[in-house]
Amino acid sequence: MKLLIVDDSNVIRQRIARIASDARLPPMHIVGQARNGVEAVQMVRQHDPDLVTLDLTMPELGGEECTEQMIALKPALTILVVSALSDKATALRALKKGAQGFLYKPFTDDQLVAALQEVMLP
Amino acid sequence: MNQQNRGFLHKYRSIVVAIVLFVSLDIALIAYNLAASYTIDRYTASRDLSGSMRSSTQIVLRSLLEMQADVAAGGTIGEEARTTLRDRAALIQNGLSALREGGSLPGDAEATVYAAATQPAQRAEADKFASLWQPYQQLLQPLLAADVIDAASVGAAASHGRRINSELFGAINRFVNATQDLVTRETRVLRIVQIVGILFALLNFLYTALLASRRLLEGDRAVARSQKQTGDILATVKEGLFLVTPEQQIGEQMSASLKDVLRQEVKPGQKLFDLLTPMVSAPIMEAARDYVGLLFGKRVKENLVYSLNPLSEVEIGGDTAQKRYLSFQFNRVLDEGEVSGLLVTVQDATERVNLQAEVASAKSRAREQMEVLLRVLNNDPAEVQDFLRRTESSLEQVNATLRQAARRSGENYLGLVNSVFRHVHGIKSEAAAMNLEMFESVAHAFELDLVALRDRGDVEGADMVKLALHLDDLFECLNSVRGLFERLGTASPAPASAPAGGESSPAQQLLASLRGLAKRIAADLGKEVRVTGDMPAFDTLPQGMADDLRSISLQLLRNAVVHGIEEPQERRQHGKAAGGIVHFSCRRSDTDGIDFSVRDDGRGISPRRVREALVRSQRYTADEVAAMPDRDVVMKIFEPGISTASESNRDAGHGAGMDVVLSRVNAMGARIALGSQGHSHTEFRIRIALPSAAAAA
Amino acid sequence: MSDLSETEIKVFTDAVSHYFSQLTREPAAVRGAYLEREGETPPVYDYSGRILVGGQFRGSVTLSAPRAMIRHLLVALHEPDQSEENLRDTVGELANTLAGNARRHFGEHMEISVPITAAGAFPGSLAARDRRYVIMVNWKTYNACLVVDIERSN
Repeated sequence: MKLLIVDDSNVIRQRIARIASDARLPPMHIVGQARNGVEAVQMVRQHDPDLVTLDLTMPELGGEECTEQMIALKPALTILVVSALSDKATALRALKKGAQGFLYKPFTDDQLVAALQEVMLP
Repeated sequence: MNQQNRGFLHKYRSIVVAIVLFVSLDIALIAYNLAASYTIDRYTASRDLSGSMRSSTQIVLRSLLEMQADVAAGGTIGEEARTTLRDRAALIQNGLSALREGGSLPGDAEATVYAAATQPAQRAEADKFASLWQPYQQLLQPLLAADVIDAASVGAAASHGRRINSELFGAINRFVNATQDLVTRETRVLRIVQIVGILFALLNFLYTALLASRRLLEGDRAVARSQKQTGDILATVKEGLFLVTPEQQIGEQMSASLKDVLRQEVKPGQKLFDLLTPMVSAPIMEAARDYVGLLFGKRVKENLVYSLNPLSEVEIGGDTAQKRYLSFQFNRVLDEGEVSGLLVTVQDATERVNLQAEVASAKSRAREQMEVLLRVLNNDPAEVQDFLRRTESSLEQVNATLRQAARRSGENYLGLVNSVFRHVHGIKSEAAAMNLEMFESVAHAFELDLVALRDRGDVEGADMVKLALHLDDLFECLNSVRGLFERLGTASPAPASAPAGGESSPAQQLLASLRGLAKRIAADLGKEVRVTGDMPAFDTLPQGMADDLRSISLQLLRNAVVHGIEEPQERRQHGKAAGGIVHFSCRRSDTDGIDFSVRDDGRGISPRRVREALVRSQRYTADEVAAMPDRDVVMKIFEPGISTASESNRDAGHGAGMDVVLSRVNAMGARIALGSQGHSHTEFRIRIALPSAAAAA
Repeated sequence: MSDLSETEIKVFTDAVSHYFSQLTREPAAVRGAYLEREGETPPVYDYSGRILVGGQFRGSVTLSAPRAMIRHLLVALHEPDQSEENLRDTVGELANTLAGNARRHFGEHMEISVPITAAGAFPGSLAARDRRYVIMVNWKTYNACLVVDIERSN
């Protein structure tokens, strides 16, 4: 499973990367860590990930447009939105563009593991 | 799919068996019928053939006798008699072999197949006939072959024929009869089999029909039973339950309590969103449409979007009747892997929401107490006391203003709102600097209402009720913090003029507050800020003046961090260090006054952005703004209601801060000056003339 | 935080306002509101009507109005009897309106007493809140005072 982590916070990126190696998950190969939407789209093009964890509030390119562009590049991409957003409407719009799931920040390790398991179900 | 098929087969096994039996019985019957008819046909053919042979024996003899008479009369033998004799003799000869061995007659265009004689009676007669016919046929040969026929040959054949005729006839006649018996017997068997078969089929049919009708009745009863159970569930369940079709219409079945929970009738077939429209606001409606749309789609994982349900807690009824909260939960209903509908569960969540609110408020009170405790443990009770004292005096002033307004007629309520705003904003800033979050958020809520009133313009007496309520909240905050303080036993009067413990001077305390506030705001905005200070003169100021400068400092710091200091990335692009610096200075001036300044090394005040804000405030037209020189434009930041922040939050955006600064500066009888350069710095300088007594100190 | 919401206070101010607009086509307007601390006394006029509340709440609501205002009201109602007793009854009637509105809004959550009236202030003090809401109401040229002193009981 090739994983791309997109978040403007370095701390969150490292944390997701650490949790992704959890034994309950299938082996994850982290193909990239993007700090904004533009980088994220670029990395999808370069590394062809299977799974993306995506923050919505980022500089440069926001989560909604980013989702749209990533899905355009790879329609089969699985996207888990991970955001502290309190505005549900924005999150719903990102899901409308093709993301499969949403997880509120802050999250515990177990919550992220469960969300990743769920989002990877066929 | 397979699973379902298997279930179906199991349920109707006996019917299926009966039908299969019926069909195979019919097939067997038809097959038997065909085979038997074929046999009977062949027997019938044999019977007819042997019948022809029987008559042929007589025709042969008659022809012989005619030929004998012709010869005796000395005439010639007619060709006709010879031909008849030849044909009939050949028929008998070929017929005999067909009857004994089976098969067809040579030269028969229809190729009729004859049954070989298998019955002992047939065989015996056939053998007998053959043994009589062979010598007879020998005698006939010369008559057929020779051109001229002698009387002796004819006579020999005729007399032989006459002698054996009765035996020959008898043999073939018995053969015919035996064959006829076979035909009759086979036909009778066939008829019996047919009758029995049809009876069986009929019985089978009756059985099948009976079985099927019983199954149907049972099925109907089961459906009725399950319908009754569903009905019972829907009639008793507390929650409002109904189904939504992919066309987003409400389904036929719904729980009885639905109309009680919603407090309105619901019709099957009604559009879900027509039902919701009068209940919820347009943005929530839009989000709800998106959410329901996503659930009907296949892409999202149901479990991972529950948290985004915009209808999980909707406020209904506004503020007229008693406010209620409804909770709508949506669950996919799957049919063969496709979403065939959504099950909607509606609950009255009012109690839950109220309880949550109470718990949250208790929590925040507890947290506030914790914060105060921490501050006190951090050894600056004096600072907290000082804050409480300043806040109380501020609140009393606000209340006095309200009291006056209530008793006077023709009050300028808008002016009052602006004045209250300055107080509340000051309290908010200080609370933020002290990290007293609950205080800050209560003041913030107050501020939001004040902003709303100010923007509305026509403020009236009835709006004062709202203000009194917020004021009450702030008093409550004050009392709860003070109460805690007293319980901690640190209530010893600690006027700010004599710092407790003497460990930190007022200037140091102020700088510590400023650093705390800067750190918090910067963290919220993703910026890095350092506060530096050089304020020797601050410690010598009279209390009132120190309070004013403190309030001004907090406001200017807030402005500097929010508007001045750039994000790290932007700073680097301009060749600056990632972290910004805000420097506070308070020194004695040459002219025995005080020079106070706040300088940040941020992006400077952009006349362009202020122009945009001025137009946005709708106080000036685009033309008026365009005509102003940059200098005048920049000074407009001191007007209330002008903010360059594009979004409002608790730290900026209400266009109030600079108004607070200016009113304090005016109250102190001081003067303020502003210097700014793009991408370089912004500096506010305040010159205060000290009263002679303070100056002498 | 605050025990009462703006909506809940509006129940009482609306009651007074509607009472006047109903009877005289001229509503009473809220002129302002502030807080009265314990020990302080709100304005007291010639006649006062009060309802006491219980149940999930405790405290009282008091309306105090000057004699001239009540007389003017009676004139507007073409009521010639301007006796002391009748004036006091009128204030009691106003308090009754407060009770009716409160019953409609709070329902069974609030138990409400029959109105009591006084000439001038009510003797004794039974403050429920630390800070009572004082709301000044204005009708024609007169000022009346509504004191909401209710808190939720726990």
